[in-house]
Amino acid sequence: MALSDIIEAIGNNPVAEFVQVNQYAFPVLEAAHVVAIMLVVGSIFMLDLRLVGVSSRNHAVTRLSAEVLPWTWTAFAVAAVTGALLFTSQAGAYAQNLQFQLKLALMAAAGLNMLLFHFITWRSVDAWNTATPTPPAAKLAGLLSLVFWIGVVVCGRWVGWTVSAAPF
Amino acid sequence: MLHDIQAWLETWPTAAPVRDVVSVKALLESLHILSNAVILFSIGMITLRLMGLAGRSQSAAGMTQRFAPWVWSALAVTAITGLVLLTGAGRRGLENPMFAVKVAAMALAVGATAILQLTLSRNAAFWELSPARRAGARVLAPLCFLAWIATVCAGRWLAYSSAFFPPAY
Repeated sequence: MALSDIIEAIGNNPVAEFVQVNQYAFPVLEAAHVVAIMLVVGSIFMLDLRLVGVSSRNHAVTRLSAEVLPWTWTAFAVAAVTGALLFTSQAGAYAQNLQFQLKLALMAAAGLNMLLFHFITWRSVDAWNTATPTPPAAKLAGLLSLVFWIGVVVCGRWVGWTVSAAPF
Repeated sequence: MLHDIQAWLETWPTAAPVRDVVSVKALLESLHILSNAVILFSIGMITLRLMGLAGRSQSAAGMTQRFAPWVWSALAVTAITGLVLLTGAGRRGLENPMFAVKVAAMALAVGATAILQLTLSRNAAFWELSPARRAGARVLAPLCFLAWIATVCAGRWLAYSSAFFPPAY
């Protein structure tokens, strides 16, 4: 099964039809998506800025992450579900949209950055938990995360101005 | 009157690029969204603390003073980007009925935020002094958070007024 077949199948499911036809479905899902994304990036920025060394310097990194990450993951789940539903409404057009593709690539980059940080840099967190400045690897992870997530928001908003109904 | 103000905003030099250049519009909107993200998360943290649901290692006043500067500086960015976006908004601007909804929600949100911050900066234990105040905080804090969420939703729905306000708009 080719990717285009999968995307066509997504576009033909009954949920997609509901999102397309009901005049309130798209705006309501979109607003929920925006609120969720705001909470994802708002919470991640908090941690990123601590890693970079700009804010919350008197708060331990482990405490801050325990405070912040439940927000991040809950909001991310909401953003992913609402995002998937929005996608189904015009699956083909979104899949072909450059800004949408860039957004997915940036999310993948943010995910990879998070994994590297978690499995490599975080292992020594006890050594720099309350330290400022933070080690260069932590600073870099925070900075990259800021850049990737800002990019996700920019591309996401841009999709709304560039996506067009395509016959695929 | 709104019509005249919108017409005047559209004489600003920013009007044409915001209206006609997709990248300018998308970048300004992104900045608007990012600053709102800072506000929403900060208010969310303050709300959970005042409700006693999270962040108990820090006092409610400490939590509020920690996040308040973020809220107010992000609000300044939101206001500036919002104003510039309005200059190129056309029918999505001041005359859009959803804009009135957004302003009403925003007034409630900013008012509740200011009350929470001012009371806590004068008396760190303000919301803990009596059972009535504790109950008050548990109402006002989530109300504040919900008002900010309503502001964001109304902001997004500026684009859908024809669905929400048929057929007047």
